[in-house]
Amino acid sequence: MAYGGYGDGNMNLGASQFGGGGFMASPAPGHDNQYGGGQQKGRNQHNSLRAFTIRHLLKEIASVDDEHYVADGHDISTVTIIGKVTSYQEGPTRVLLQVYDGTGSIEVCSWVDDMDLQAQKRIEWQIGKYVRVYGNLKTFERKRSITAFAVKPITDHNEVTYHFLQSIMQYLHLTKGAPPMGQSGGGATPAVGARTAGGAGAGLPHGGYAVGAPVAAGPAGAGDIHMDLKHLYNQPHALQAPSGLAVEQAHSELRKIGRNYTLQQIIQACEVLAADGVLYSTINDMTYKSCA
Amino acid sequence: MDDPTPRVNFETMQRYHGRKVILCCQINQIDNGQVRVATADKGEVTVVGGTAPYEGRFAEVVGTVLNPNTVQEIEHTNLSDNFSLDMYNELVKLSHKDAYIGLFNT
Repeated sequence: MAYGGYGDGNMNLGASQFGGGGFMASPAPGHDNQYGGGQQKGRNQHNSLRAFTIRHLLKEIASVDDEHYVADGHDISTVTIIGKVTSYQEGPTRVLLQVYDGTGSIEVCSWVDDMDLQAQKRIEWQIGKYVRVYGNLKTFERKRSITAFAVKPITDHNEVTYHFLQSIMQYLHLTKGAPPMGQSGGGATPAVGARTAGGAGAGLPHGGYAVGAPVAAGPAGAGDIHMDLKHLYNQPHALQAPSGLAVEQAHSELRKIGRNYTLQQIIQACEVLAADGVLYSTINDMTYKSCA
Repeated sequence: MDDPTPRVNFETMQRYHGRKVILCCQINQIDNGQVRVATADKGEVTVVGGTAPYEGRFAEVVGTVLNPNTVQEIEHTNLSDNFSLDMYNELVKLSHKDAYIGLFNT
């Protein structure tokens, strides 16, 4: 099943793409990473989007001040939640919702200028209906709430299941590091956070977490080889080797974990990754190292 | 409505006798106010006391567990016809793991 960007075509915040970024993964301050924007000097703002359960938002997050929050050791900026509307209050310029997802309840404030838009919202955000909220966490008088910039009705309820699974996945990723490459029962220790953040997308489609049956190591598609190589080149031994890994070494290491690519496929994939700026060649055209 | 309401399947439902739960299920039969449903882990439960109509194949029932096979409905939401009970079942199992108690409090 493909879970592409939810909501209408305008709201493509990429939260639902595993490898496509959206949440803060690198802990090193100022360190550029593919999941969020770089840290702005003097401000603790990261442009990241993270999925939460409401209980996690209310109970497990430390606030630096009323506007800045830290979850699992990382700053959070934009959050997304899914829940049922349990109350709806209209004001002159805003709508106040109470949203409950089974783990907790939170107030959501949505500023709506246009009266016509407000009428439409009245229909879409009915009590008892599931909605997805994108917004920022705020605290006022010790009470946490979300100031939403988008509230979308849910039409496919698999999105609800998916959101909770994504909340778990992101929590695990940020607290325990990227999942091991290959089978979920592969036995490889999950790599430490920052360095392999770039390779996190590689591990995930191969069943790092216990969501349904682990993906079988069948013949890999074109997309998989790039992710496998990215992950391999971000392993500690590859990062620490002065010249990186030769393509033959990459070939034999991938074969050991059941990825039976040909050497030619690996050479071509490395060239593509080098052109994309993920790898760079070192002592010769057949030896690469990760740019991360 | 602030207290956590656990999402359950047939197996986990047994831990919450007398408590409110969220049960996503497939509708098998509707008989005069009683609805026979299949849970995400293929258990059979009867939902009693609902008033609003059930539409489609799947529903999310919020209700109180009366006994191992019966839930007293408080409210329900009709779910889309492509709802995956298998994926939901995996979510239920994960949400009951101790490691994620901070996320779900089940």
